Amino acid sequence: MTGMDDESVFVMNYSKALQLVGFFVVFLNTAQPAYAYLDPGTGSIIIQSIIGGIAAAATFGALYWAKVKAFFNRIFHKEPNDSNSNTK
Amino acid sequence: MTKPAILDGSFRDPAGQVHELGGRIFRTVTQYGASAFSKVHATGFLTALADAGDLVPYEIVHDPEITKLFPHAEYVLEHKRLDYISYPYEWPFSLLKEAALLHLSIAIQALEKDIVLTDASAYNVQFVSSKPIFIDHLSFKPYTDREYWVGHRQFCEQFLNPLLLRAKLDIPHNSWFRGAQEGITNEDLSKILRLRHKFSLNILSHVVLPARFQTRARNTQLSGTKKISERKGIAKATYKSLLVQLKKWISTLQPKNMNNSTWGSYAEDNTYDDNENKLKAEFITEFIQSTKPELIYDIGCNSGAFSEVALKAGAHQSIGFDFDKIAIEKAFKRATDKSLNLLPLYLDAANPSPNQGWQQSERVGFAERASPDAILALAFEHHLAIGKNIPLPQVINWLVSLAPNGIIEFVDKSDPTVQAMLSMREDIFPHYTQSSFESALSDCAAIVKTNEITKNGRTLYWYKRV
Repeated sequence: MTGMDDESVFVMNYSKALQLVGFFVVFLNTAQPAYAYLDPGTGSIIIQSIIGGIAAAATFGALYWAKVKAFFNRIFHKEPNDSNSNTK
Repeated sequence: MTKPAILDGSFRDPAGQVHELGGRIFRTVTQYGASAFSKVHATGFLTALADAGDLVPYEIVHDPEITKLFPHAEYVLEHKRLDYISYPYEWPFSLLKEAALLHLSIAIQALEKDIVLTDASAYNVQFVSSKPIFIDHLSFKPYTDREYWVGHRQFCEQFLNPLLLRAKLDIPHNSWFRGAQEGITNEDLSKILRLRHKFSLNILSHVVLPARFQTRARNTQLSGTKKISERKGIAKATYKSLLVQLKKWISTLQPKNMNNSTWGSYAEDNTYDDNENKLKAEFITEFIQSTKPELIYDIGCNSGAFSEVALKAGAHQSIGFDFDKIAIEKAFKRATDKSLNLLPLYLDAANPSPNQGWQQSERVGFAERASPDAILALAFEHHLAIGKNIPLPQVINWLVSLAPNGIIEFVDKSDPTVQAMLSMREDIFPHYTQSSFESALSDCAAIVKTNEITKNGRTLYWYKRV
């Protein structure tokens, strides 16, 4: 025998059952229909979020840079070129 | 009609299954998959893909005789049966690369039409001759705003990582992929890549960092990591740039060290002189014209030269098998350069692809896959009989069991190739003689014709199974 008394076996089973219930609650919450077929994997989702973030930052940066250029163009009385016309 | 059988290997997708019925192939669409399919079908995108030869053409079946057999299906599609099924662990590097590029190209075109692929399984690509074709009509669904590329990890495991294994470390993917049916994980590949590889932004962002995040998420399981439904997703432009960037990168990948291979220089190698090749070509031509096979197996196809002869003599399709990684690359190049109906695949004849996967029936093994009408086994038997110590009668039995007609070349012990094989080992093959070859072949087949093509005793045997 393993040396465990009946009670400790019960406690273990109970906590295991709780874990299992917890797992299913989490699983059901996570299971969105659109993603149900394939587990995309946490690693992939995080890297996509980061790449998305960098892309967004780059886009923001580009817009910001265009604004800065437009500002200086105004100061030096230059006509902004066509590609920057939306930042006037 | 009898109850249609679900084909093993198509059970994972809740959107539908593939069935075989009297030799015809049907794909049922379940309630789960019906909405996505009908929306995607209505855009005409699938038809356009099929017209371009990138997707197996399909038709929606309306015949009540057929549809009543699938009472739970929302749609029944029928498509053409493919001539031969092959798996990514049998593809040479170039075929896997072609399949990867097709997958990405379809994903990019789809996204432009507001459609996305629901997975990135390499098993969804098959080959017609050496051209890849997408086979899963239910892998498409309408794009939802700011969704992630759900198939990214699967794409990396089943396409990118096996390619990188060969391109960066010169290890063919075949054995590993055959063992691990889902491909090569980012975590495993990450461990064996050298530091210098990890400075590449592409490798960092598609292999190393996802592996790191995956490991970390596993260690903090169910607590720290945000659920996908709580995340804000990525912009469509980011989604597209992921696909475009990967496609650009993969199109530049090449096998490392293309020259370091046993049979790489076959075509230039002069243990085979021109007269010998001429005699072989004549013998094959006569054999093909007489037996008129549709499908042939070219076992030990090398660079595919004799498959080419057989196809030009009238064979419809050749599947070339070889265990040499460079030889099958060359055969692929021959097939594409000359538009041959030749599919070169990796095969270790002493250990062919088994029935495997779930319930050992998800992926069909070499022997059950197809029934070729004829085989060519030129300069092959000695690799099993001498190289792998397989008794000569067993080698012959196995070859004859593959097809009712064929050509087997006997390579005598005095031949330089066999001499080279024996140069480092004891000759434990006293029974490896032409007469024992003949008697073993006569036991299971009729010998229709023979031709001795070298003075060293290389001889072609044309057999007909009895």
